[in-house]
Amino acid sequence: MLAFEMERPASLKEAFEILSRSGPDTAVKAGGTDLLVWMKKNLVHPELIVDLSLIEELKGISFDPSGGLVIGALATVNEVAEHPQVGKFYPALMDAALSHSDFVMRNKATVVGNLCSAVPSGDMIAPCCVYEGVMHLVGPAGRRKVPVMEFITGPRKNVLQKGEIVKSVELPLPKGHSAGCYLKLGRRNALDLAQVGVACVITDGPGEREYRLSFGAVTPRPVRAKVAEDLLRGVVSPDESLLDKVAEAAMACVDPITDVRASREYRISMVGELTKKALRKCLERF
Amino acid sequence: MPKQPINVVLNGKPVTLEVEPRTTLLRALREFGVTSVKRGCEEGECGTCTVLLDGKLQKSCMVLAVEAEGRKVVTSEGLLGPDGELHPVQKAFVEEGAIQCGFCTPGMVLAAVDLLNRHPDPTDEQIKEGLSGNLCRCTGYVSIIRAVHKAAAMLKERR
Amino acid sequence: MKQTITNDGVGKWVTRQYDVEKAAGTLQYTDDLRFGPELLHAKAARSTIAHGEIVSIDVSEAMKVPGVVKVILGDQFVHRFGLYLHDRTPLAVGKVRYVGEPIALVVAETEEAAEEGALKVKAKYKELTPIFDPVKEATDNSILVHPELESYEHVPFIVPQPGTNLANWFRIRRGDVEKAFEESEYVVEEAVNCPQIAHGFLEPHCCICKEDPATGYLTIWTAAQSVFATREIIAAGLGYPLNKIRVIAPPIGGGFGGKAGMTIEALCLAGAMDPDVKGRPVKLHISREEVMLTSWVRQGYVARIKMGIDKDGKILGMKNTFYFDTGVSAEYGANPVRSAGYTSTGCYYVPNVWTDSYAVYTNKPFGGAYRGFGLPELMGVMETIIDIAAHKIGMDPVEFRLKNILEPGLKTCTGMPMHNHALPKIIEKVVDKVGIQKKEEPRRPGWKRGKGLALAIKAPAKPADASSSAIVKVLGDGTVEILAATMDMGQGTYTSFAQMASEELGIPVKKIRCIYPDTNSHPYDWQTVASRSCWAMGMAVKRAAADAREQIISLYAQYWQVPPESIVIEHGIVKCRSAGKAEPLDERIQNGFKMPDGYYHGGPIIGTGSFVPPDVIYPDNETGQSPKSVVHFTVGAVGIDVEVDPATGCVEVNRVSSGYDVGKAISPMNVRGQIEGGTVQGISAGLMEGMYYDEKGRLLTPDFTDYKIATIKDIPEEIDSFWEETPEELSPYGNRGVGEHSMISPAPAIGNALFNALGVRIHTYPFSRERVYKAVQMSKTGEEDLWDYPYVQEQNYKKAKKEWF
Repeated sequence: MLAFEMERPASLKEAFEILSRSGPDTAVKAGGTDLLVWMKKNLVHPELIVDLSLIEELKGISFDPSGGLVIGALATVNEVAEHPQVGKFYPALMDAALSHSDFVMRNKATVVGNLCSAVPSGDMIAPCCVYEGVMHLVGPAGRRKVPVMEFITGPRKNVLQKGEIVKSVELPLPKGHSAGCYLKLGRRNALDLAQVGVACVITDGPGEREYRLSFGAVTPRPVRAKVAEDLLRGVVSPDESLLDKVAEAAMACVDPITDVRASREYRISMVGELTKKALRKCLERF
Repeated sequence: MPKQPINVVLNGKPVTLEVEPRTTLLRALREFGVTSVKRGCEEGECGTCTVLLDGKLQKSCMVLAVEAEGRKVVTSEGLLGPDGELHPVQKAFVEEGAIQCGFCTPGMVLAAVDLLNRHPDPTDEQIKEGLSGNLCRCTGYVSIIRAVHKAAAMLKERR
Repeated sequence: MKQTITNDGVGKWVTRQYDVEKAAGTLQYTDDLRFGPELLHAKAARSTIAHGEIVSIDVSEAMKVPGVVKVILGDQFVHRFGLYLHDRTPLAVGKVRYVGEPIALVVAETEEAAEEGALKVKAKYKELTPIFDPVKEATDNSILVHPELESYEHVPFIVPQPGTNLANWFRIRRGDVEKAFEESEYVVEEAVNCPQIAHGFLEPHCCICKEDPATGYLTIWTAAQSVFATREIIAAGLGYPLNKIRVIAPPIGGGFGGKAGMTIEALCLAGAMDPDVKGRPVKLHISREEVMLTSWVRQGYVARIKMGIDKDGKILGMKNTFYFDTGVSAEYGANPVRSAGYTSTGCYYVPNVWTDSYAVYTNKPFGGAYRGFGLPELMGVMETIIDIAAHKIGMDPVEFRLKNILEPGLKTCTGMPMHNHALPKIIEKVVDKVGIQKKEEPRRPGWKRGKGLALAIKAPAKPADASSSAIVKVLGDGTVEILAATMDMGQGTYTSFAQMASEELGIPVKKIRCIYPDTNSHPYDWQTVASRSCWAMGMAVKRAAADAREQIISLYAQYWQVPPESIVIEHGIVKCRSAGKAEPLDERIQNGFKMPDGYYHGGPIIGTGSFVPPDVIYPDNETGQSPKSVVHFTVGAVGIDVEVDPATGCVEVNRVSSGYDVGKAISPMNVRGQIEGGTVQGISAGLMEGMYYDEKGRLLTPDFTDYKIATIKDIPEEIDSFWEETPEELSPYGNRGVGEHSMISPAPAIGNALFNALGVRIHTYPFSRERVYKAVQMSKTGEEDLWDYPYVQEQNYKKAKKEWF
């Protein structure tokens, strides 16, 4: 790993000061589990790393029934998985957290970091999309909120401006009774990147039954399967023929690549298969 | 790049490590002479460098040494009793033949200790979840699962 | 009469040597040794293309990196190395032949500076067309990886074909195979292929080399399986006197063949022997990526078997064509090709055999030794095709195997008579335990369940004159040190040796210690490979321990003035019941005994033992025939019960039963460990492992992120490991090797189970989820054979959509 300078601000204010005077080759880190690997592989060579891990304002997870779940930028994947309200109200996020890497890495990797890295296979992306998560950004110019769907703009790309930091991601509480799940397919049963991930949420809100579907590792940017969701809207227990149609619609909205982990064709097929499985599992959990 | 001192409590004793910003906790510990943390991949994929950092399992190749400032680090050597006696988990690994080449063992032992702290009477599933980040190429894991069950019984007896 | 009594001799369940240190984390591996500030660090700059002439290498920027001491290029260290065939240079000379080949060695004061220096070495190449497909290149030969093949030295039992890409061609010509096909009721011809796979040991290669500038003595500390082979290969490659090279091997973190022979030591020596560097120790620790990219791999293969079978299901003839993808070097890989060749009818008796087994050079990392050494490859093919044949002739696969089994006395394909074994009994147990012939409902709703069987066979693959020697020293405190240059890389051989010494000396195992190898202190041993150590080195250890025992007894007989036969050594106490004597072994064993005549006799007790197999004759290069081609075979069987999720192709193993005829289990804890570990390694290889390249020969699986091995969550729900003990005639205690065998058959057993579950035969390893899903889809349309030709896939990859934008 090539040499770099490191700053460890104790507050957001201090962080902004550092970032305002830092050069273009600056990297911001929370857990650092992606950044350190990329640096070791000489894919990136930052001159300065700003380590956020001491900033109290970025820590913790809070839940408020009226607002929802707020996951601080430093909250690790395990902290999220172990949070009682996550298991209860955000099962798709819980599943995804438990499918992420392995138990030890989850003590370091953060949920927000996974979103910021914006790697299409990031396990946190699809569940945050189905829970309609919103990123809370803070910067010298003030605060702004960006939906996760818009926050990620491409593989390893996001909307963060220079000097801006993600403070948290907020997931509104699904309205009414709900169920969710995240299904991940890898090459083995632990510690793998998703070949395909499918997140699904069903809610019985004030109106009719609603379904939300999102996929990981098969699109350059976050995606919701709107056509598939529309096919299901209001249906209480979809039959197999409807599930087949939904799977078709799901497959139509992804555009995966071929890499050594899986071929494009397999990934497309798996979007269909896992969508059906995820829907069945959600209905079971409902 | 000049080195800076960081202070950590290493296996119960305060020590000062001289590190660069880029020095991982793994390399800092090894340079200090704690070689039970192994370099298997240095990318978080194998678990041979696992330590307990403030009581939580971490792959020390994924922690920059400066992040450990003021924190407590426990490695496999730190589990030994005052007269060098093995921790029940280490003892169970020896007795069950859960060790072959030994390269994964220090990390695996720490993962098992952490698991048994969280689940004193673990199921096979809980063992598998807790040890899923630590690769072993020799044993096929079967004897490791046996050893963790045995350690659980030994720890229960000790309580 | 036996004159020793011990509770933990041969066959007893005792805990293992060095496990306390391993559990504590205090055992020092090569990377853990400390050399102080004089230590220099080396890092290789590597080729970015698969085949090309080196036009220029610019090291000026590298030399500017603070801390860089020297950059060494290939033309400054021109030496060819090899175990069987000298075809490898540690640094590319003139040409690069694979992506990742070292082109320069940067030596620096710190590891970080060496790494930064290596990043700054810039090379220019004139690109040549690289070749990747072993079948095409074995026949085409228009592009040669080694045009200089003719000039390479090699051992007589390796048969390179200069002017081609064939590094070795092993043949069996026995009987008349064409006539056998004519007389057969059924002729089955099928093919199977498998990509290269990697060892995945957790300790990367590491070595430290130092040259004494005054004497030229070289000292090498290295993570090596075989210190003496390392020394010999280096001495031959450098043209250096053997006695001036000392190789020390600290404990190693797994080997599986990947640390056999000579690995990175010569590259490190290029640094340590440089005139500007020598005198200072130079360390070369390679990263996981470099391990994947530039160390031994198990050779990929494309293999075809044609089988003629009579109306009763007896195999009459077999024609085998095996193409092994040996990559850029066959210095070691030429021999698994031979090993597969001389076992090329598997566990079966076949009167007429024609085998061509080829090692084919390609522009990829080099093939070498990997647990099983040609036999997981051979049986990966054989056990698939036997299963196919059984189905084609309408016979139960278990019955078909038993009908053709290589019964004791029948001749193998080399003409050697088979010795006694318990294979039919093992098959029976495995079939029963897994319920191979019983159809059962899947445990998981909607999944498909299937069961499969595969047999295993392997002989130690080694030169006929692979010898071993050992020293057993009894120390002044009654403890014992064994100097046997076997490497205990986890397989537990030191525990076995300690149990043997305990058996022979009547001294408890806790008082016996095996010392890690050092060519300066240990007597000679060929290599720690081939499942040979408990057998060959075991012979030497047993003889050395017995020698020490006889010396002790003889001294006590004189000391007590009693007949030697009246003396026993019991748990470390020397006794003569008739004379009422009992004394512990103490400093007199070291200093000598004051005898009744007042004079001192004795002195330190040192037992010695040597062994070389007395009766092996190399197979004839033209026909492969020999009265005794190998020392013995260990046989076994694997039964497996799997389930497939048809929606994803995910395979879970419910149960596996794995049994081997080990002759005698010296150390049962270690035998169990070898079977369990190898079974999971075999399942891992069968389900997920493969090294893949893009169309330019760049490795797509260069790390544990993309080269997947089984985690604890990928293991079978139940592993039943067992063994039978049909004693081996020439053997320390009747034992045969078992270290490699458990890796041989899990993969084909899974393939057979998948056929049982899906009705589709997958001819390509591994049975990845994606590939099995494809098979599931084929089963819906009634197609029966899935064949993915790996080298076409590499070309397909060229056309695939690989990036978004």
